[in-house]
Formats: sequence, C-alpha cells, structure tokens
Amino acid sequence: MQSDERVVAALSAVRPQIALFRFAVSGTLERARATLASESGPSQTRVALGDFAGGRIDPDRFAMVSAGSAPLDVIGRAVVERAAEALESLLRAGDEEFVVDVHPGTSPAAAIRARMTTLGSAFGAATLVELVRRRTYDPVQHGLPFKEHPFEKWTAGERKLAPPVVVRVDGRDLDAFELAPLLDGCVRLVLLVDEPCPPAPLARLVSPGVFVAQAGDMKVVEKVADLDGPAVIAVMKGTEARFVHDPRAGSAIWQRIEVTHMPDTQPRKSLGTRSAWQQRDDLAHLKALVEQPVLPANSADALIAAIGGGNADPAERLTAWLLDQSSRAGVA
Amino acid sequence: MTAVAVPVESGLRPAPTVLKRPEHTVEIVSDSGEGAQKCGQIFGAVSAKMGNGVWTVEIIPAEIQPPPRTAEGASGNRIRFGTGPVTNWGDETNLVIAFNEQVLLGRHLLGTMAGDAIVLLENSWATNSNPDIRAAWDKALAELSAQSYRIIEVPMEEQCLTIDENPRKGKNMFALGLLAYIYDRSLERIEDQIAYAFRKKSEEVFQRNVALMRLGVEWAAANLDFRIDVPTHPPTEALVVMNGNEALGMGALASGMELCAMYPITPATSVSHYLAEVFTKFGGILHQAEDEIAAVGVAIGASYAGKVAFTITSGPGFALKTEFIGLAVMTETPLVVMNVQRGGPSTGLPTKVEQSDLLAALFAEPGDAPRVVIAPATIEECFHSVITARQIAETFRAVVIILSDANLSTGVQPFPRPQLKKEWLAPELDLAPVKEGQRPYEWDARMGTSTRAIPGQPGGMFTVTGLSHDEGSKVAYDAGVHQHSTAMRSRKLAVLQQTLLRPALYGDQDGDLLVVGWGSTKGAIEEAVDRARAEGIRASSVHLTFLSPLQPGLKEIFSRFRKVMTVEINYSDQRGDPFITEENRRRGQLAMLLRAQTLCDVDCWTRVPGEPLRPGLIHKAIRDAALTPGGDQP
Repeated sequence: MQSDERVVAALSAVRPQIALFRFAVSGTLERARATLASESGPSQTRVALGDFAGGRIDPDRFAMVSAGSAPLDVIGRAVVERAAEALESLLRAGDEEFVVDVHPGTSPAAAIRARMTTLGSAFGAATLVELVRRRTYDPVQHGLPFKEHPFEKWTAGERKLAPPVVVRVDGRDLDAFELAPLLDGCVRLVLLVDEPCPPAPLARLVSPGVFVAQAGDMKVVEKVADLDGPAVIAVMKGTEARFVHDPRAGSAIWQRIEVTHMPDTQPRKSLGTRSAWQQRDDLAHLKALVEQPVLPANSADALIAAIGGGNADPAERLTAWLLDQSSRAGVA
Repeated sequence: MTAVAVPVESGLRPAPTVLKRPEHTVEIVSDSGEGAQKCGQIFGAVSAKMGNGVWTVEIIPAEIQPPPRTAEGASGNRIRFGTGPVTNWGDETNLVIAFNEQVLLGRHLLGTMAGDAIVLLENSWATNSNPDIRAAWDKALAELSAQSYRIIEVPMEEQCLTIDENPRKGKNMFALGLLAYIYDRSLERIEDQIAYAFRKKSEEVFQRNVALMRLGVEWAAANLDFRIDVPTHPPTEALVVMNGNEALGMGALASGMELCAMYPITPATSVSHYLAEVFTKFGGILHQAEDEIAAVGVAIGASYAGKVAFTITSGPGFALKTEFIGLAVMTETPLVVMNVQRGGPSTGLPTKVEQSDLLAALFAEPGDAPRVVIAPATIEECFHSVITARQIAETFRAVVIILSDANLSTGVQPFPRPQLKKEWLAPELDLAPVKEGQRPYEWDARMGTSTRAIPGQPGGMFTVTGLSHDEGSKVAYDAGVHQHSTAMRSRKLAVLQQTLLRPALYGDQDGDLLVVGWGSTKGAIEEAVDRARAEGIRASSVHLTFLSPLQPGLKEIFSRFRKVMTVEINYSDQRGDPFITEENRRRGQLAMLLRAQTLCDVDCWTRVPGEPLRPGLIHKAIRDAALTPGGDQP
C-alpha cells in the first residue's frame, strides 16, 4: 500500500498534521518520564541533584522533601510506566499507522474508527499520566486504556489534536452519513477513492464548519494545513463532481463552496448502498448549495427604500425600519 | 645577575641543560593590550591537554587601560603546572616573561617571584630613543639585578618586526614559542590552540601568529642554554579545560536553565559572554537588562511565569539586587543568583579576588529573608553547583546564591568531562490544572514547603505580592499570619539542613588545629595543611560548601581540635593592632558565622591582598596557630 503513489503523496500532504500529533505524543512521553524521574526516589534524586551534592546531601532525605505530596504508589508508577511504553510504541511506529485500507464491502467509517482508537491511545495515556500526577487515579474507574481509546471518548482538546488518517477506499463503500460523526475537532480524512464511485458522495457532508472537497489531486490537501476545523477530502480518479467547500471563504454557503466540475450524465444504476435516485439527489443537493439566492429586483429596491436611504448607519436604518414595522417607532 | 643570550654556532653549541621539575610556575606579563593573557591561556590549555595538572590565574590591572610601562599596570597570566594535580596558584613564580622592565618590577615588588626565578625580558627599551625610558630601564635593572634572578634579555621586538611591522603585535606569540621550546610543548597542539583562539580571525592572522610562535621556538633553540622538563601524564579519561565562569555558564546549560538576565560587571561578565555564544542553541535566552535591578527583576518575573531563570553579578551588583532578592524570598519564587565576588566595598577592586560578600549573601535584605548560599571550591564545582542550586531552588521555592569569586572565574583548570544527564535538566513545566482549592502558599505546616502554581496553569493565577500574605496570597498584616508565614519561609532551610551530610575532614579526625575554609581557597588550604602535616603539625581542614544552611555536626567536629581557625580572603582585625582587643576585634566573615552558630571560639586568619591566598602564607599561619600556646577552645 505504501508504494501506492497516491498514498505517498497523501502522507506528504498531511505531514504537518502528523508532525503535530507526534509532537503531542512526544510531549506526553516527556511528561511521563519526568513524572517517573521526579518521583522515583533516592536513586533518581541522587542523579538529579548532580555531583556537587555528592557527599553533601542525603538523597533519601531530599527525596522525601522533593516528593512534596504522597509519593507515587506501586500502581501509579506502573500506570505511568505502561503509559510511557505505549507512547514510545506510538512514536516508533512509521507512517503506515496513519494509513487505513478499507476492504471492499466493508465500512470505511468503522475502519477509520478502529485506527483512531489505536492512535488515540496516546490521549488515553496522557490522561492517565495526569490522573496519576494529581493522585486522583482510580484503577476501577479509569482502567488501563493504553491499547485503545475510542474516538467517542476523545475530549474536545484531543479532537483538536487528532491525527490525520489517509484512507484507501472503494467508492462504492463511501457513506457520508457514517463519516459525519467523525468530523469534529481538527480531524483530517484524506480518502483515496477507487472506481467506481458515486458522483457526489461527500455532498451531504457540507456543513458550515467542515472543509469538504472532492478533487482530482492532492493540492487541495494543502489548503487545510492551517484550518482550525475538521476536513474530509476525497481524491478521485473518474468523472465525479469536483468541488471545494471551505468554511473560511464566507458566511453564506454559496460563498464557501466552489464547484469546478459536474458530471455530464445522471447516474442510472445503484452503486453500493446508494440507489441511482440517491446519487442524483446528491448531485441536485450540490447544485442547490452553489446557487446564490437572488431577490427579485423590485423587492430589493423596495426593501432599501423601506429602511431608508442616505448615509445613515445600515444598522440604524434597519433598526428604524423594524421598529416602524412593529409600530414602536419613537419608543427606543 | 644579568645574562645576555649570545647566539652560538649551532654546530659548536653545547646541548641545553635540562632541569627536571615536578612543577613550575610561569608568568607572562605585559602592558594591557599586548596579548600576554592570550599567550598564557594557550600555554595553560596546551599543558593541560598534554597531561599536566594546571591552575592559571589572570593578572589583571585594576584599571581597564592603565598607563603603559607602569609597575601597577601589569597584565598577563600566571600558570602553575605540574606532573600531578594542581589545585591553586602556588607561592612563587619560577619563570617570567616580561614585555617591559616596569611590569617585571611590579611583579618583583609584589613578591611574586622566586629568588632564583628565570626572567626573559624584552630588551628593546634599553636602547629606546626616549631618554626617560632608558633611564627607567637602567633604574629598574639596577634593582632587579641586585636580586638573584637570572635575567635573560630577549630581542622580542626586533625579532617580531621581521614578521609583523607593528611592534606591539606578535610578542605574545613569540613568547609562546619561547615557552614551547623551554617546556617542550607539542607544536601541533599549540597550533591547534592558536587556531581556536583566533577562530574568528582570518587564515592570514592565524598563519602570522603561527609564524611568530615558531620564530620564538627557533630563537630559543638557538640562544637558550636550558630547558625545563615537567613530566606529563597523558590523561586516561576525557578532560575539559575551562575557567570558572565558563563552567558556571555550562552548568546553567546542563541544568536546563532557560533564561539568564544580567548586567555587565567584572568579574562576572564573561559568563554572559560565553552564554551569548551558545545559549540560544539550547533554547535559552540571555537578556542584558538596563541595570542590575532590572536584571534580577526579569529573572524573578520569568521564574514566576514558569521559566527556569537565573541572574549573575558581582558585589556591587549584588548590593543593587538585594531588594528584589527579598521579593523572591517573600513570593517564594525559585531563583538562582550567581555572585562572582571581587574586592569591595563599593566598586572596590573590580578585577581582584575577595571573599567579602558572604555576610551580604546571607543577610543583605531588610526583614527576615532566609535563603540558601552555596560556594563551589573548584572550577569543576562551579559547573556542578548550578545543577544542585537549581534543584534546591525549585524544590524549596527558594533563592539559592552561588558564591564564586574572581579566582575561580578567571582561573583555568582541567577536570573530567562531565557526563551530562537528562535528570539534571529542569522537568517539563507542569501545566496540569491546579488542584481544586489549592492555595498559592499552602505551606506544609511541618516543612514550610508548598506546591508552586504557575500562572499558565488552569487555576494557577494568583495575586503575587511582596507584602506579608497568607496562604492564599492575600495581603495580611495581622500578627499571627506574619509569624506563621515567616516561620514557614525559615523552616524550609531547616528542612534542607536536615538533608545535608556532615562535612568531610581533610586530614586526621582530631588534632591541634582545624582550618576551616570556603570557596576558592580549598586547594591552597589543603596544600598548606599537607606541608604542615609533613612537619609533624597535627592540622586538618574542613571546607564548607553550604554556608546557609550550614552542614550539620560542626560543633562536634570543632570539639575534637584544640584550635579552630578560618582562612578567608576577607578582612579581619589583627591581634596587636592599635585599639584592637578581643572584645572589639572584627573577625573573618565565616568565623563570625561559625562563632554565632556553634558558640565555639573560632579564630581566623584572613587577608585581602587582591590576589588568591598563597599556600606558603597559609602554611605559616597554620604553623603559628598550631604551635603558639593559648587561644585554645574552652
């Protein structure tokens, strides 16, 4: 799979997000190690105090002072050690950890969730380290979720640090409704779509804060590098619709979305779970999103006249008009 | 005795006499700006790398640019090196290279030269066109020749002019060549060291300096009838060679310091020179503030915000920082303060060593402001003390003062290359939310310690104040709160003291005299004790590195000796001086402290000569104290 040129290109495009995630994992690992180092008793204290303290400071006694609150118990220490191991394992893993192969006929969302659960173990480890540090860790209540930390349990902060996932998927298996719950925080999904594929499988995902794109190459991925929000990008090979919905492009949906290509023909066969009608409806939805609302020429003029012309502040003019409409002019 | 070297036909010239010595002390002295210090530094570094024990001391005039050709204006370097370890600058110089007769006269008048010292003296002044200079030469040579020195006139300027047309340039490298020949130093190593010294200069400058050095070697080979062999033992472990200020700077790096805020002051400034070159590579910030007060304020602010910060200064700067240090004590903001002591009071002796800031370090602030004071005794300890200081500062939310001095700051010594450890670094800043309900000064009632909150932590913000405050940092003037908070700030030192170990004795565990020292005098004191013990005197020494709190067991240790005497480079009244009685006698600063702390009759022998104490003088003081009846401890 790694030899797939599209996978290589996709990984390259999401490299900044991978680096950010690894940086977060690395920081958590440092914190775990620091916890172990600072609270690991006389031998570590002896080292940390340096050679100048040799023969002058009793590390046993100093360790009792520097521990401050109660020292780590055996369970707490084991938890932090296992957390550190899990984090080290994540850091050792290569780029393949960020690539998901979806077997044809299976759910891409489920495959993505499974991978996020694994990658999310970093967040679980970080949480446990903090709980131990604050002496509030309870084995019964908090468990040991080092191997898995389901996306559903990720906090808002963790979702902001979500690792990117590159997904190679059969177009027939794409289901926007299954993917929608994953689009939160700063989740990045890059879908490398194999033929055949419905013409607008992601159209239903367009919503105000989500970057959605169907594209023919990876260039569009670069656009989400500094995006503070979720993104899903399908890189396609065929004649499907091409569009970009960028939340930063405007307040109205027609300002945010740009369609560069629409298929010449309407779907006539069902594909995967999508019937022909549903596919046509996806395209119609996409078209509708692009349409700019236009008031009849005379109604626009009438509105302007009604709220008053001139150079007055538009807000004041609108306020005056509203008050007038509610027969409360002069009250304010 | 004056001898003028006469070139001899190489084929007829007898082989030079080789004088084998276990150690030798060399001085290179010149007017300021003639590069004698660079010559000495290179020679010292090469000697250390070849396997000699080395201790160098810079000879620095009190003024930045003193008048040329004056006895007071001598600038240069003194290198004591030996086959074994060398721990101090020794007593007398065995060989002097002088660029003019006046600076040589200055060294003679200070009594730094051994009676049989060999002198290599620039002789161009004898024929100078200025009659006043010629007269001064004649007068000085009359005085010097009356001694038993062996003076060899060397045409340094004449020789150097064959390579460099500027007569003020190049003598230092020529002198380096003389030393290289006399002591059989590796020319390859010298060239490497020249390359390092002139690393910011052009290849042409390097080549010219090498040529001048080699010219010196050739001249010496052709004209000197002696060589001196101080056997070397190539080191079996990796060594580093540096001065105390570089060691402090490296210690700051090794301990994970993130910010140094300072204002230039001799002799501390070179710490910041070193850090200016390297600190940013390690993510550090070197901030030169507008004055000493601002510098410590920046360090405290940075520490309060979660950075690991320190400030560095010398006596006059320390005086200016006192109010802010009190703030750090009151706000329990971890802070490391390095004070590289010099002669005082006021601006005093900027370039000269003294140990007169001990009591200021302990008590300078108004109000009760307990703080930790430690004093490295060697250049190696300058490095390691910073690591310990940072740990203590953060563990106890305390101010830790490192008292170095001008002897350590400019002295150069080889020591084992530190094996850096990750544990030395400051741990990552803990920005986890502050525990619900935790107050900023929630003192452990027994230990006085409290968990530090960083403003960036959720819940970590609090109003910080220099006013008396309660556990919540709320200003509180009532008697109970102030009594309690003062006790808590003091208690921390008692707790730290409980973690300290009894100091180790040098020599026997009991005897007639115990010498107590601190700071840079350790090597000289122990050498003096060795000499005294070799004479059968029952003397031992103990060197204190923790001055506040003091290490435990001192009273018991003192009780095992008939007399206890501190040796310090600060002032004390001498017995027998006019008006001085046992009642009004002012004693050395450590002696005062120890008397108060132990109620023992601790005597002192102190001097403020503006130079490191010589082991020979300490030896004499030990002999006098140990062999003189009376003055015993009750």
